[in-house]
Amino acid sequence: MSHDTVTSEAHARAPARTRRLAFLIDRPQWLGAVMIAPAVLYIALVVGLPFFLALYYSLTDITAGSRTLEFVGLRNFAAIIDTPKFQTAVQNTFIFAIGSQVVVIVLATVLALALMKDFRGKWLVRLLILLPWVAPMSLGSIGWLWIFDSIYSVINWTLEAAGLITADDWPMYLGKPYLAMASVITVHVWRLLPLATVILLAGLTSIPKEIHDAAQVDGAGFWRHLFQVTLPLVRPIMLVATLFGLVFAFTDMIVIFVLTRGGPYDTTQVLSTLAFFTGIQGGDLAEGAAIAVSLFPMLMAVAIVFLRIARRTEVI
Amino acid sequence: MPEQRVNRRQFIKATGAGALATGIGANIIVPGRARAAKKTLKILQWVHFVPVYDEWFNKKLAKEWGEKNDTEVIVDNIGIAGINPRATAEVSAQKGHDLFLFNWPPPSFEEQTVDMKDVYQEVEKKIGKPIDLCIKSTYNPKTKKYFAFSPSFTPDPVNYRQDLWSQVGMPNGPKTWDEVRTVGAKIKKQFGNPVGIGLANEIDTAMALRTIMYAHGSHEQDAAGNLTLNSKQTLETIKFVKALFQETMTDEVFTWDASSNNRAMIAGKLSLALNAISITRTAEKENPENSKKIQLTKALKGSVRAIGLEHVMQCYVVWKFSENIDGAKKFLVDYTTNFRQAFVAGEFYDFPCWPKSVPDISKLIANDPKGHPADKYKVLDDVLEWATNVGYPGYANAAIDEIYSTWVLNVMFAKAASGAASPEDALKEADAQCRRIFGKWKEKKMV
Amino acid sequence: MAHPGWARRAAGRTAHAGIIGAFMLFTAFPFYWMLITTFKSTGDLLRRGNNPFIYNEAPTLENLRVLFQDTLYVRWLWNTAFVGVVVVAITLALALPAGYALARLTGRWGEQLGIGIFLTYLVPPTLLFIPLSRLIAILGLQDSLWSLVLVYPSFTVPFCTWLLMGFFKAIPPDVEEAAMIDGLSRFGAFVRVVIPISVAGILTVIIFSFTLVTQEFVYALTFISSASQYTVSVGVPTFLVRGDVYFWGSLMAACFIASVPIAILYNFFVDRFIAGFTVGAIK
Repeated sequence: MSHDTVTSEAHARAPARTRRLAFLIDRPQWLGAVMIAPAVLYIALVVGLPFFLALYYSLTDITAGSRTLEFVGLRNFAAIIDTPKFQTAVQNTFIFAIGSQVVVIVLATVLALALMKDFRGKWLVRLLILLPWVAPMSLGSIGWLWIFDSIYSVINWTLEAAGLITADDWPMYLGKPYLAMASVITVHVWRLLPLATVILLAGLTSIPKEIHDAAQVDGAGFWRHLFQVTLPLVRPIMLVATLFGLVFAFTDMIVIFVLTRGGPYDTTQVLSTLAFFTGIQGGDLAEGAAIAVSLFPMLMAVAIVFLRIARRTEVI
Repeated sequence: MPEQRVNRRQFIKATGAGALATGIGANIIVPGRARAAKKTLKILQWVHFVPVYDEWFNKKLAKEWGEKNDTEVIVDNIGIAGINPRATAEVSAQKGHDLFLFNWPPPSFEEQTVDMKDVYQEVEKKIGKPIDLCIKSTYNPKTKKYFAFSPSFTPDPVNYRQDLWSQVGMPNGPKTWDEVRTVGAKIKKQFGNPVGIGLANEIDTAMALRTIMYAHGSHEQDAAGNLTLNSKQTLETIKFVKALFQETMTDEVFTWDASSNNRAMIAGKLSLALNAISITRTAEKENPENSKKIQLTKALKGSVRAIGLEHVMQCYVVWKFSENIDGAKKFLVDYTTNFRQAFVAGEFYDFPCWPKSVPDISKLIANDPKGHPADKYKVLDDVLEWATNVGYPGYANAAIDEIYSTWVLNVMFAKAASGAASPEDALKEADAQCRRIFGKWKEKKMV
Repeated sequence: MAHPGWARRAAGRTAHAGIIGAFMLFTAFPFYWMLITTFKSTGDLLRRGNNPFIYNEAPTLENLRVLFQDTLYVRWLWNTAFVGVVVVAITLALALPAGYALARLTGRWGEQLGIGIFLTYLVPPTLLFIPLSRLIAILGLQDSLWSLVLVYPSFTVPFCTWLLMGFFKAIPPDVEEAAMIDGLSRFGAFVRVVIPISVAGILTVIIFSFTLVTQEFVYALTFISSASQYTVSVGVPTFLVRGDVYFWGSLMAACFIASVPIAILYNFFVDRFIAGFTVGAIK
């Protein structure tokens, strides 16, 4: 077929805008570059540039009020790395992020499996389970602040009414180190559970029925079926859900900022809040940037490993 | 109360809805803003605790001042959590408001602010000298610069339950910190009402603990700005706070945010707390019965002195990149010399840094229509003498500010009180942090 | 299958109902609580010892009145919706072609670039807002919703590009090839053939981006300072947490009202979302 006829036909059909791009037809690489350019340019401008600027800040002596900055190399990092405050924050960050993700994945798996079944009222159930995902988190956290309140906690009121605790030994959810960490993890799980469940549901739905049938023919019991057939098949998508949740736990500070501000005595202080208090509230922007940046390499390593595994174990 | 409601609504109409109507994202106060020659003055300040104050400031004061000075005055109100992030963003952008209010001393922004010396001189010419606290919060002796200007501050008096303290023979409340400890313990045992001095990462805790420190001769720094945290007095204070916690309080003090002691006091749970007059003002609205039981008293005496802190320090800065520096300065002078209006509009929440700006202050607070009794707030008439700044007896410098903002002392006291660390270890850790922070800012030549 | 007896089935059903019930309690209880608090008078709410589950005093509409009359809540809802819709549109405009190009046209370096784009998603906003405020001032967007419109795609585009890339990879190449033989250009085939069959993936992107926009806090806090330009997540706490007083009833109402309609809307699309995500995330 002659090239000319094809293009003239295309001209006849395609709108004018497409026609102008027609010369790119034969050069997919050109077209690829053109199609990807806006996104890359945007990201370079709005994320890349500011990110490198922030990175640069962490290597200078900038303060909240200064515009003349001096390059100081890795001194900010050297200065924070030995401080107990920073070390505690690193530890807390990992406990918070990994702890909440483990709980999210376990709960989301159970919930997704339960939702695979058809039952009456499923629409409403699903609605109620989706709710935390759509709540503006600054307000959702305030809701939990009220639930955990030291005087008006509804949990404690209920436990007391049930005779399980007395007025004198009310658990102070945000006031004891382990309880406070458990509380912020709970709220974080609450917020991420719906999305993780939906993602896992997606994974479960995509497993072809024949695979389940085959397992049943083999006589696999519920647990063996679950651990040897179902879960390995949803692993890639589970990794994606986990990665997404980890990023949130590492970088977003709103839950801890509203509930504890790092208290009691820094036992829930994580890197994102510490960076905020040091750099923005305390005015030492350079050190705040260093604290925030210090997690990036680790996060990046985790992300790359996750993405690679997720892509490699393509199943279906 | 009904009157309150109307006011609050009017306030929002004035600020937000008015702007909405003009279709421009700002709270435009002055009509006929299109005239070309007109200057503008953009002010940013917090959403005041007393809604009526915002209504007065945005709708009346700003409008009248604008008319007199042929200026369009735009007032934006933001939440306390947004103040430092917003300031940092404005500096980074080199663009923003002409007059920017911090609710605490902002020494780390010094390089970007206009020296306020002439404003101080101008006001001084008209109404005499300010109190020491005002200078200590806005002046950097190292660089000899006034990085901010403070017209007012909020006192941090002791709130106590008169009914309870009366029953143990102290109808006028405690006079010393030792009494809080011994009698507070007695009240807790007898009536079940604990004392409420916070031990959390929040502002009320930071202020109350410093009050106790300074009263016991323990300080972050000396008058010349040398770090002095590691002292016998600090160790004694930590031990005192630990005992105070164990004998008079409950674990709830570790859970608190800035609103919690208000709530606990108004709910009738606490026998004593330190706060701005927000506790009593809120109680008057929400729980008038209880408000009669809550009375105020002056700073308590420790082993060295009786001293209280500012609770909120109103510090205005004018950025170097401001587009109306002269207007901003003039506004400050006019606002400060007529502070009496603001004092009344704010329901006595903000006290003057310039004693002569409210000459009849004693008379005003001796007869408050909302207070019960009417002279409830009279105990504050000498507050200008016993209130001091963060960093006393030195200046509120950048190092002091970072120590404050990263909750170093809150954590020190909380760790010791809870038993997570011994008083000695808690002090050692805090001292190491302060040493590092001081070193940092000294190197930057700002302290 | 061996012993299907009714007792066992009943036990299974009970366990299933128990699990579902427990999860519902966890996710939805805070909203139930917000709903109750919305109609409580302050006195009722703050009297110690009151049963918090019931109305000890008559329910009141005062909290809603404060929310709707004393604050610009409705305006903030509109602002949020506006920013959400525009950001979703921008995200689609950038991520659709980019995702397609990465899937089809760029070959081996496409995957590397894809991972690279995804990594930018990891940069914390607490760090970025400072330099970004500079950019916004240069563009003259401070205090305007457009500043958020400019910045928000920075956290939606990377993830969505990456998601769509996976999605397009799953579409058999024959589809476009057939269209191109019929005379369409590559780009034409993308617009007229590929996009229409990618509705599920697009829906995923829409829901995902819109949710992130409604959640954002730090940028809105720092770029906006006038009451009429706030979004819900910043405006509500700014005006309903005054000094050290929380307007609990109004705060809870604000959260409830902003959440429930969106949850209902999403619930209609959740099945399509699931379909979209499956293909997008793992291919």
